[in-house]
Amino acid sequence: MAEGALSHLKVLDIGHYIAGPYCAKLLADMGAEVLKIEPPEGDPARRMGPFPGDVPDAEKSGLFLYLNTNKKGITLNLKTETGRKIFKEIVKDVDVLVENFEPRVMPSLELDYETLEKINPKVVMTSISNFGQTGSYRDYKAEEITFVALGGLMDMTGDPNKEPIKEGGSIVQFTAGSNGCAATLLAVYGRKQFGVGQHVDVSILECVPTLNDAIPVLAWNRSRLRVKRWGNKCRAQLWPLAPGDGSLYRCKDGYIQVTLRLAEDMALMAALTGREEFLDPDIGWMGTNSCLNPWKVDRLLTEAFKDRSKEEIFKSAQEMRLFFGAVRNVEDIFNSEHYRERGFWAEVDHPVAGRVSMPARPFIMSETPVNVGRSPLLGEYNEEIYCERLGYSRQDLTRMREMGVI
Amino acid sequence: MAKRVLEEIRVISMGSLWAGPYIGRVLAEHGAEVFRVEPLEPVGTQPRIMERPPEMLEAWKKTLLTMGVPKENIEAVGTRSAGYGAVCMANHYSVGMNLENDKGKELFKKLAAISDVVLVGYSPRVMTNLGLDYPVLRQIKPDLIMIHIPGLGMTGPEKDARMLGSGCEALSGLQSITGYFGGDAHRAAGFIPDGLSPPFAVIAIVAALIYRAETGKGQFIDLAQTETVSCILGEAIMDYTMNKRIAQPMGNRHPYYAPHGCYRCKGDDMWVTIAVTSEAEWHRFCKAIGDPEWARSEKFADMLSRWHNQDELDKSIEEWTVQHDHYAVQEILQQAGVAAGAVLTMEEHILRDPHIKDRHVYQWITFHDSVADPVHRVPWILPRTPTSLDRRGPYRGEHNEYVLGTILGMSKEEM
Repeated sequence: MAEGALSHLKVLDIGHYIAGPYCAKLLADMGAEVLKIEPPEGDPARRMGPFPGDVPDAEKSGLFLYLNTNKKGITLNLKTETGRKIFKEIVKDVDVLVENFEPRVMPSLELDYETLEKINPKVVMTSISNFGQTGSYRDYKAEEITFVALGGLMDMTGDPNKEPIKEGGSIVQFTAGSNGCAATLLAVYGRKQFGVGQHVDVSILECVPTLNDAIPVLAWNRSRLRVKRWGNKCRAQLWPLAPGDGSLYRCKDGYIQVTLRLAEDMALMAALTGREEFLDPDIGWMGTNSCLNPWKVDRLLTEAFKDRSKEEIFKSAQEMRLFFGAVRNVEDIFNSEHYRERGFWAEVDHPVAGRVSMPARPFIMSETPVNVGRSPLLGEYNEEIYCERLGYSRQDLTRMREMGVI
Repeated sequence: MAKRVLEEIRVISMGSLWAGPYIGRVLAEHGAEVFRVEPLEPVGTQPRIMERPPEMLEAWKKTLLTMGVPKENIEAVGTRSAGYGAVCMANHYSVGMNLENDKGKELFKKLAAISDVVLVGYSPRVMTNLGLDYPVLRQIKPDLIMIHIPGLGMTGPEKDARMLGSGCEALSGLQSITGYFGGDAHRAAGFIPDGLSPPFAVIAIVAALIYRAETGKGQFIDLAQTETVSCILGEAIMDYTMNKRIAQPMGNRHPYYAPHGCYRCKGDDMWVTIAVTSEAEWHRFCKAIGDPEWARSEKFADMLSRWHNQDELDKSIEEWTVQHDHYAVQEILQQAGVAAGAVLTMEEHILRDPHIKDRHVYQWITFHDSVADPVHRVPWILPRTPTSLDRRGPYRGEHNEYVLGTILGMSKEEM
């Protein structure tokens, strides 16, 4: 089988939870040799769910199994002198180091970039942190909800008369993992050309502006308008938009996403729904994306789909070339014929968790495979790495376990 | 002077709106020369500057007034607004080509022959219909890297569906887990797929460049924007594949932590978020807000009790937050080691937030109409290989002379 694009890259991952491990997972799924170091008690993600049957088990966390594919795993306690000595030995031989501790942690362990650079001048050290390695909030605490709040996204999400809400899941931290991976590869490519390593500083907070739509930024800058929450409806504050871009309406079994852009779309809507009112001239179309009476269209849409299923509406609307989308849930995407045919899902066999399905890859490369494999058990590669690679004896392993080093 | 990482790389970028141009911009920020190949005539979905016809402007201003927007703000609303293009296409060169005719196709092939990457934001069939797809271009440039970023990818039964960011977001699963607790599915505020697919595209492109440097081989990349969003729904996806549980909107609730939410503050529609993730933090939180009597209730004695009684808990917390400015709450609680963050308006986020200012996240770029707009840099810093974001988005065909003349060596008459 063909090798992955990064099969010559050696990566050391001391990440925990989401952002760091996701960055290193993407490298591993593209063929990089990734060694993951966990503290003796394991990556905290092992204690976060979801667990099969809701039974907590450090070897069965769905989050951990997804975020650590294709990595080799060892345990090592960086808070011990011996642990740090071993860590430095491993760092000598890697191209990339990924970490996502708070910025004070690596210097406090005397494992900051300046120290590691002396051991391995060409190392690319990627630090993904809440707020970056500098700045007023550097040492502040943050959770997913903190990022969307400070990043400006949350103020615009939710209904106009209720509190702002965060986007579902942990999407900002995952986004930071993917941005961290992009930054790491840019640094690796730079190293190939100029022979320099560097300390890559990735800020999770700064990933939020990349997800914000540019329009509210420009609306604020040019008109001093505060773009408030507009619920699932049109953003009439920004632009008297026709009832999209992307409003959601209830249908029989869920929701349908509607985007209407042109006066001509109204004839299609009349045909799609059997409602002649879509042709009323008082809707007042004035060119692309704009009509004088979007609320009328909104009322019509609210009634239009109640008795129909989202997939049937999606299919019929797409046949008319309308920009509609069915609001699919996780079950829908798991059963999606489209995803199946494209090989979006992979089945991974794990010695403890059994056979688990997960997304196979974020994109397809024609020459070099991108694919998940299984995640390591806690300390699974201790013997291989410590004994075979670093030359410690089996008794040393027992001693180190006893000392709390591994 | 230190060199930028992609200084030697040339990219052709095609397609409109946000995702494609933003990918080009990230590459250009790292020194790549990015040529936007654009149709000669403006088309509807490519807003550089959005024009507002005067009669619409009047109608809109009336709407804004009924929505309670202050009069002085409404008066500042002008007939022109910079569009996506102006922001996303910063650092790009623009060259106009009519790819419908043979002359245009020849020109495109010439440009492809000296380029490293072709980035296409059009729907899957466009390049094949033009006779400019990967098998064709590969004959001209054998080690070419070509990437398509359609909503649903290059293959599969739904590949030809018409998609914008919002449609991808609907199909990805994200909207089904966004929304108020126990409530309807909800759209996210931005266009998440347009902001998320760029880092994945950059990963694929740079990994392909690394592979090319080692083997001399190019390749074709198929990136479906909808799939990139599904990929980041980790917990929800794994809960389904392992437990067949269909994740629902959680609002501001966390699966384990409480308090975890958004609380009203002093001022008009001002809010703060608070997340308490351990017992130690809970005790520091209580102390920071003045050790109120209610906090000692059995109902809030541990994380589990707090989680089950969070509606009541949130009400009590809000009685405190509403007396303070959102930044004041943030500072009081951060000093106590609790994750609190003000819900910032766009203005506060861009113009006033001290940390965003410290980190120089926004650069001000003057666009076509002499107004400077804030543009965020990439969310990372590479200290030894600088990035730069310094040229405004180009007019359509603004660099015809540079691209056709200087780069492709055509004479004035030929152009």
